[in-house]
Amino acid sequence: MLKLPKILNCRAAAEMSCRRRDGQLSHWDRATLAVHLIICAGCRLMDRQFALMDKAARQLAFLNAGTKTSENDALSPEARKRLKKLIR
Amino acid sequence: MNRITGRILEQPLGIGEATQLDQRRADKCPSAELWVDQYGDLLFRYARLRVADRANCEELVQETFLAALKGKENFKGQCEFSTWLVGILKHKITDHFRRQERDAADTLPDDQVVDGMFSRFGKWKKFPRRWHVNPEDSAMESEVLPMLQRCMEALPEAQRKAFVLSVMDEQNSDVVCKTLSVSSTNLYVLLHRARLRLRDCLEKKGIGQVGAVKD
Ligand SMILES: [Zn+2]
Repeated sequence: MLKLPKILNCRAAAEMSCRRRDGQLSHWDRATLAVHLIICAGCRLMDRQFALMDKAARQLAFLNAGTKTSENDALSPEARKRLKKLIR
Repeated sequence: MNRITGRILEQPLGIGEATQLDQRRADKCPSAELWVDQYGDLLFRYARLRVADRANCEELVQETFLAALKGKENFKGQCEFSTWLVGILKHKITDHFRRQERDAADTLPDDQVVDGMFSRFGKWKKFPRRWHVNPEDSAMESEVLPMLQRCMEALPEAQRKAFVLSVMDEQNSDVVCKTLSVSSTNLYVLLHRARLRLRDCLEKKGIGQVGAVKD
């Protein structure tokens, strides 16, 4: 009998979508995921969003040295003072 | 003896090159009393992106400066001084993670937040929305990155560390497993929970929607 990829639910699809990004996903699981993504618009969005998030995270790491993303992102005046006394 | 072989192994120096090297180092390394003003915020931000607690970050910055002070001679001027400092900090952060994870359990507890995103049958309770974000455009930097940083801060410890090391810093999964002392199976679980939470958080903050809530 022909073996068909089993129907996934969304939760398992989310897991597989991540697993594909982080490690190995067998050919079989890839096919199973692909089938789910064809039939499920929500998971199709999720899959693309995960890709965007990973890209954004790497960009964040890269830009971090030069960008200040909020007021919290600087040494506190107390810490600065303490460090200046210590490092000379 | 040692010093000589060490130098030969590193790179053979011709006459005059040694002084050139000293010059290069001096050009790039400012005197220590300027470090805090020049590099303090940069190092703090680097730590803050990876370590949630402010006090811990300040401590890591301090450790970095102290180590740099002690090992100044190891800076050869082959990269920017800031890059060299960040390299030290990176090691300090890994040590920090390792120290914290020493008594990590083998089994991960359930993540109720993630459980709550799906029905009993594993279907989305709330369908993902479309995000109108183009990764190439400037909104990515001004809107998405700060949002992502806030959402990362809200992740549970273990998930945040897994995401930071594996995804943000693109470290090999074997290395990450060792640093966090988790099995590879658990690392995958942490990563997919982290992504689901981040996705949810970003959506709640209104990513890619018209009239997005900025914070
Ligand atoms: Zn689905």
